[in-house]
Amino acid sequence: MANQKDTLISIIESISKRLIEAEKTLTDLDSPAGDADCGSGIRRGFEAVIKTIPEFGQMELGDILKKVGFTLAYTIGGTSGAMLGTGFIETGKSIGDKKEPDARDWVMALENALAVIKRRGGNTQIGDKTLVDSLEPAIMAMKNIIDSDKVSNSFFQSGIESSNRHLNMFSVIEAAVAAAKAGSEQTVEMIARKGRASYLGERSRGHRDPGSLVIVIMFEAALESLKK
Amino acid sequence: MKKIINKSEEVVAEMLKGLALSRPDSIGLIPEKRIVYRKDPYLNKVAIISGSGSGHEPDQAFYVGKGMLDAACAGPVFAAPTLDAIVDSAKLVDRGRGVLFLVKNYTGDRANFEMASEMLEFEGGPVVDTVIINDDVAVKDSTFTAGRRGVAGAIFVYKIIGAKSEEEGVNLPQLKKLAMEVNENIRTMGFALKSCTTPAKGSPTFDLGEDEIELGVGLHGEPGRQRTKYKPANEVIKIITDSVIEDLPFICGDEVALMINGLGGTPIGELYIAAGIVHEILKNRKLKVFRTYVNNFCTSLDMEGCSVSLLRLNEEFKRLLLAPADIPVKYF
Repeated sequence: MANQKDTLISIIESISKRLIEAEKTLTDLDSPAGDADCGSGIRRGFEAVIKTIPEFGQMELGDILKKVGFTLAYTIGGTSGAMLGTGFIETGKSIGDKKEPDARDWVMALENALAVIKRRGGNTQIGDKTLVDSLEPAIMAMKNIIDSDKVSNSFFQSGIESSNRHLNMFSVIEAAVAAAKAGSEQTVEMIARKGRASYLGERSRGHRDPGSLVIVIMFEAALESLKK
Repeated sequence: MKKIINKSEEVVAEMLKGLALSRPDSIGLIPEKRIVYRKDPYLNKVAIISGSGSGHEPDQAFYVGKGMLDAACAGPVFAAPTLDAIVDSAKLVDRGRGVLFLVKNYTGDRANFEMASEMLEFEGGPVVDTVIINDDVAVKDSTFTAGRRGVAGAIFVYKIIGAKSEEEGVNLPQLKKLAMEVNENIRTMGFALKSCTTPAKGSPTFDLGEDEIELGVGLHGEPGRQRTKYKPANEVIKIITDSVIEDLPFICGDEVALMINGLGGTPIGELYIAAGIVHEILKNRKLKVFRTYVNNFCTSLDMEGCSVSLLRLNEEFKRLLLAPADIPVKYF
């Protein structure tokens, strides 16, 4: 039976590959209202993450996430690197020593991470046109599923090796993908209130925020990985 | 906009290059990371690092040297230095006794220094501690801050801690405690006559009418306490100085160091007019001035205006203020 560590590692691999492939898309989005470095920054960050994957076998879940976070913050640099990095680092802190966190543990860890991202960004809110615009709806959607008792709380369904073994986390992430997409779509018409795009005022309207798309791609990649 | 610059994106890199070429024996530079470090050999001391956005020169790169900072991380203009620069600078200057980060209170700076500190701990890197500086009395919370801003008074912290760190046997916890103590005894407030203009924007950061001044303006042009009509020096300097005195409060018999800090665009002569006025006020309040520092210490590019800082002194602070510092901004 696959353990969570292997699952997490394969999710990280999947996210890294998808984001590296998305470089041009992200660059194009970042050109009108940014400085066109989103794509290359993300690629640099996740190429560095891939290089660290061989070390993960020796590490616990919490430390794997922290390592990914520090690698991203260090390599991407700037505020976006810091925010993405914070997300992974804080999630890793919440997961801590747990070897088999359940779905609720994961969602709460992500929720804590989101709170730190928002605080560190200077009290970022939905509507500021940042990655929070897709991340917050995604996490709220995950919380709704967990709280609604529609799925049992265990990460895997009763340890049975089957094509449904990731069913619970799968439904949770599925909801996250839909919410993240909707949130990212909303950013198109927003005026940026944070980051470099915020200096452009009206001119930042009409373009999707690339950071919000990064979040969408991450959840999609995680979902794909869980399908396997 | 006319400035002595080439491309706006290259401003910081070119400035640091000029600094390194001007002080080749004492200043080292890592251009890709915008780290300025002390070149003279030193051992067995706690390393002192600061950093913030550029645009506040001489703060901080020009305070690197024996007796003050061991390294400074220069962010882009008015933007925080990045995690990788901070992490690398700590590893560069660590001499096995630990590293103290002195950070002015701004959200971006705090976040990056905090994350750098966590990363170093995660990697088993040098032991790090941090002190946040928040001497500005003007506003309770600011555009980029939770709580009071760190402004020109920070220079007193760098000086005193830098000097103390050169003493034998001083450890990281002692320096942290001292830095917090110095911070608690500084109060600052400034005002602007005219906004700054950043190279990237090319036009004033904020609108200030021809006959208006901004009391309590921030170092990046953030709003202050009050926008009011222009007044002659006697009046505006009195408002600023009274605010500083009453905030701690500094009381009859206290001994102080006084800093009149130009925000970048104001002639030195005007700073001395301000100094004269402050001296009269302090005399009336029976505050004894130990030393007066008048110059551009912590600017906001070309903003016109100044800030007044008072540091309440004890014998140790006095001694450490007077200790020599071998830094770029020393005239002779």
